[in-house]
Amino acid sequence: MEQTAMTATQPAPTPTTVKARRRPKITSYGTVIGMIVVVLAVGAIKPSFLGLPNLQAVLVEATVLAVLAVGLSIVMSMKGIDLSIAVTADVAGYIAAKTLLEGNGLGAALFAALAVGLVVGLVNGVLAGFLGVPAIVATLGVNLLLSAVGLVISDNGTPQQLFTAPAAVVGDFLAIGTGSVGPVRILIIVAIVVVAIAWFATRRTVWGRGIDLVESSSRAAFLAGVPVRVTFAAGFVACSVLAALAGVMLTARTGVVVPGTAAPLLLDAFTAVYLGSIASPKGRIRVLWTVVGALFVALLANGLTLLGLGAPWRFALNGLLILAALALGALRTRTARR
Amino acid sequence: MAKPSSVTHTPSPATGTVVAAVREAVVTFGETTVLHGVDLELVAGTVHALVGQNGAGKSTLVKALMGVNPLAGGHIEIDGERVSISGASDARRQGLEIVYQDQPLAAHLTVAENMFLGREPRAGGVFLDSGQMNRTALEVLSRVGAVCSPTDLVGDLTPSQRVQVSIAGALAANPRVLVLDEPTAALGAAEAAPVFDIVRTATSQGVAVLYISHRLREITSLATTVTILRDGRLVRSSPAAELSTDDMISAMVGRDLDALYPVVPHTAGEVVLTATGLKSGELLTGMDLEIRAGEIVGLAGLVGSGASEALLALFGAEKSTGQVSVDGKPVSVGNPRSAIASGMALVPEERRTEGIFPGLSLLSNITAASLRRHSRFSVLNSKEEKRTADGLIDKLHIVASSSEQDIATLSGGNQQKAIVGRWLARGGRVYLVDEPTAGVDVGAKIEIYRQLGELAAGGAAVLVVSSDFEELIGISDRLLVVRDGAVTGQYLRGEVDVEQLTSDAAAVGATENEVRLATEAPVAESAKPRAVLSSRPWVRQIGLPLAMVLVIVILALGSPGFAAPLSLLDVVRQASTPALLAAALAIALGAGAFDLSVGGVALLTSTVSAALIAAGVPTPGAVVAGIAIGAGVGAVNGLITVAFRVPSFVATLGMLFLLVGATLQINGGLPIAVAQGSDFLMLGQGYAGYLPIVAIVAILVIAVATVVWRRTATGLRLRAVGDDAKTSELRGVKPGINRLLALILSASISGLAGVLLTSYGSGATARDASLDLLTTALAAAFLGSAMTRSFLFDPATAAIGALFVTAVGAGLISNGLSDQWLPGVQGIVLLLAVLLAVVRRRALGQVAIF
Repeated sequence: MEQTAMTATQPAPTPTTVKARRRPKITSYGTVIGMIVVVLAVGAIKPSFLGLPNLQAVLVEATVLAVLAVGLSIVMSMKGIDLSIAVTADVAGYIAAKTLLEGNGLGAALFAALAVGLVVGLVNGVLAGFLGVPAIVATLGVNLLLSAVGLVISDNGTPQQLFTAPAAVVGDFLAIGTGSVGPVRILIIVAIVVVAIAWFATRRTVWGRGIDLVESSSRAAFLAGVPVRVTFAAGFVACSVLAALAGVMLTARTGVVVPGTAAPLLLDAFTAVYLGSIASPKGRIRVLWTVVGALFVALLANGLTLLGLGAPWRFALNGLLILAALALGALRTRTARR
Repeated sequence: MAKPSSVTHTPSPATGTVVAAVREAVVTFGETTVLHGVDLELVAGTVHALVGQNGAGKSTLVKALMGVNPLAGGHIEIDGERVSISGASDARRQGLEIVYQDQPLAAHLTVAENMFLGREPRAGGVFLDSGQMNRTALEVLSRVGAVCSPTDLVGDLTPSQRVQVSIAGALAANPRVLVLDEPTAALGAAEAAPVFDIVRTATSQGVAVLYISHRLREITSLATTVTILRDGRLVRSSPAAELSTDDMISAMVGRDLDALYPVVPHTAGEVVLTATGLKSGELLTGMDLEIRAGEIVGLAGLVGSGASEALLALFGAEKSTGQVSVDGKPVSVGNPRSAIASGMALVPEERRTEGIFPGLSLLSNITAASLRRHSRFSVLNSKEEKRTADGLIDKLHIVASSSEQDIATLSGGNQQKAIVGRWLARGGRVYLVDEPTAGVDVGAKIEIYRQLGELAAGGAAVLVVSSDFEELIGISDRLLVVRDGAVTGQYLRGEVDVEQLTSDAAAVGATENEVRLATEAPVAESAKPRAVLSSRPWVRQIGLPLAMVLVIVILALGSPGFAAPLSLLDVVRQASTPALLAAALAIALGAGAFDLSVGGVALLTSTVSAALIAAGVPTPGAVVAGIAIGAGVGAVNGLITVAFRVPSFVATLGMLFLLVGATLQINGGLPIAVAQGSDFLMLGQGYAGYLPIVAIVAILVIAVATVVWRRTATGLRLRAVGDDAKTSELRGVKPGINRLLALILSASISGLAGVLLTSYGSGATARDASLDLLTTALAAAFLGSAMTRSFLFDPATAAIGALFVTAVGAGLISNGLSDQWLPGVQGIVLLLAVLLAVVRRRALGQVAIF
């Protein structure tokens, strides 16, 4: 502000200059502090909640959601949206299981699942990025289509049960979901690798910078020669591939797959992205903050279960938390504007 | 609100009386005084022209008159009496109307709807008096000689017609004073002619017109009186007949500016950029250019001359045709990436929206166009980026705490330097600079001029467009005069002064009259064929419904049982609740509010009504409870959205969770059955004669909603807010309150749908169907929007969309398809409908998610 004040002859300060003023540190981390308080409060009532075994279990629970939400955050950071992630995860998980049970081996199963993600992502990306169909409509259409595909290939929702199949066929696959390397579960390693790659891709590559530029101003990005459409479409591809991977992880963990399993994860993923963005100091959608959001959602679900509060409370508290976070965010911008 | 306007009761003041006056107006912004005691008198039946350079205080004065800028001194008189005007709608009540430069109109509404938005004539206090609207609109439109019908969509109009509609909208309010702020700024000479006619017509009917324009030739032909402002002071006010354009120019200019233009020696070399026959849009009609290395060339043209457009066309930012080459190598036009690859660099006019990346660091802003250079295998090299950024910050004297500072926090001049730096980092050969010093202070101006000189000294070709001709003369080695989309003259440095250049660019001469004659003649004739044209939208629209009927017919042919009356009635019965939900969602979406909670509301009210009936509450009680719960949820949704100024998408996401939680709390995860024989079940399963009661209820509710949506003033406002919130706000239609209303309506209808769902299914399920209900409704709402002329959401077409999807599903099943494909059918139908919209190049009703 000092500089503008010194040199401005134009009387009206632009809104951007005011909004971008540095905020006091403590308020910018208010949401995180709130999250920690909630977690500690649950821990105070139910000490086992913060015990190591439970935390480890929550971490494993959170991996699928984190991978899904991280993909979604890439699309949403460009003001896009992807409603098809949960059903992509379902179909990919189902196809992986089917491929596996037909005796094609781990590699083929993984390949088939990720191919599903790639195709869905390409369709979404072409529709939203190149044909100009609003992302919400394009991905809604794809979501409906895929849920039909899921019903048809599963013969109206017949589960594929992996855990009853011979270990020689499914053992490697299930090891992804249940095995450990040393003390660390493979799922956690996978999630960490995914998050690391996503972080690197969005923060350290030309494409990631393109995302920032498109997010800030797509017109200016176009005029600066950023391939806006490709960048946008690639976000959908990344999102769908990660969704497919999340489907594989989910299937490997539970050992059974039936279309519709991942459906509740869609709203959880939105919640994780929003909570993460509201918690981040600048209010932006970022990969690492999305992980924070996902961890919190998983912790909360687990904590409520430990407290003996069932599904109604889980939903209601999720809703209240979103609204509370909104209120907090609104208060923050309002104080920052003053 | 203003009472319904009518053109018949014109209280035409006698020509020659002062209708409104500004006396010794002083306006201050903070500690800066921007208007120093200016007087202005507006006389009935005359045109008063207000001229001055950018920043002379014209807009400030007008806004003071319109009650937007509070006066720190002086006052306003209407009919000789002191009044205080508080805000735009107050000014309207006093008979003051203003048409802003590029007056925004809601593109998806009709001409008549745009003209009367915010002061709709009503019949019976509620309904839109569309008869009177169209009559009055037609009358005013023909009075101003506009060639469009009241029922045309504004989005289909030409820029010139839009200006006509804007002015007609102001005139329809029957004002005493009409303020026109650069009405012709976006128009070419030919297009501007009808606007002058409107002004003449208005004055002949006793309206006092205040006319602001940069085009001095317009003023000499239109105005009775001219007031000239400079630096917030009135420098001259006299009858137009006593002033030549030269007099006006010298009164407008007259500042000592010798020290402003630093001398940076540079010499012209080889030709770098050539363009021949460059055409783009309506303004650029065929421009030839040749720019040399080490040369600064100024394009001197008025707004609308095609000068700015030439830069965008060269850079490929606008669709264009013609040959362009850099260093002899041809550049494919119409694509910024090939322009950039050839060495072109654009410094755009709208720095804040087209130049900078707000919220990102100075560093990211500087390296935005040269990311390849700062990366290996697509991985960014932060050290190299920092070196480049720091080097340029140093070289260009950008004042910033570090390269990490958010560019939005820098001053305009420093932002401008950063954009130049962006292209220096890229190694640009040709710099296309549009309005380099708009909105920057004098100190920064000198810096920017020096930089342009240094760019040329470094061997770059620099092409500058500026509406400040002094500046252009001060910095250019060569000046090209641009008029009507082509270069019409050339001067070398020192050969021309501001007066000469302005009159060249304005070219007072015969051309305008010729153009006028050419455009006037067809006006009267084309009014008739237009009537035929306006029926064409129906032809365009009929395609999708025809296709839908065809699909149903084919399905019926395949399975005759499906076409039996009873079977079709069953489809209607089955479609009733989805249709209600689709209509509900369409209302929310159509008002620009995303309501994710419609399915959740239906889920909750379904469960609550089942529980109430099971507890012995009579049927009407359960229905009322359902609607009331819906209304309550909608009110909370709306209040959160408005109070926290958050996207309704997020607010309703939170609400959706809450509703699902509440539902689970009530049903404890178990279905609630309604005992057979309960009269409550009649609602969803009974028949009145042959007709299912549930369908009658749905049709009635949707019919009422549609009448409200299409035929009432409230509905118009809801639609306007959804189409263009900013425009609506300018007309005094508040987006917040209207979205609140839309969310309440949508949730109430959803609440009713939930009750019907329970009656239809003999109880409430335990399954969380909220998302399924939502996606079905979304698909139907979008399908329905593709059926309307303007692709806006509409409750009736959304309901038809739901009916169609249900019918196709039932038809496919009776043709032997597995019902597993049902969601797929929905998805394909939705995507096809939307792709149709895209093919027809229609912007879909934009949904504000974030």
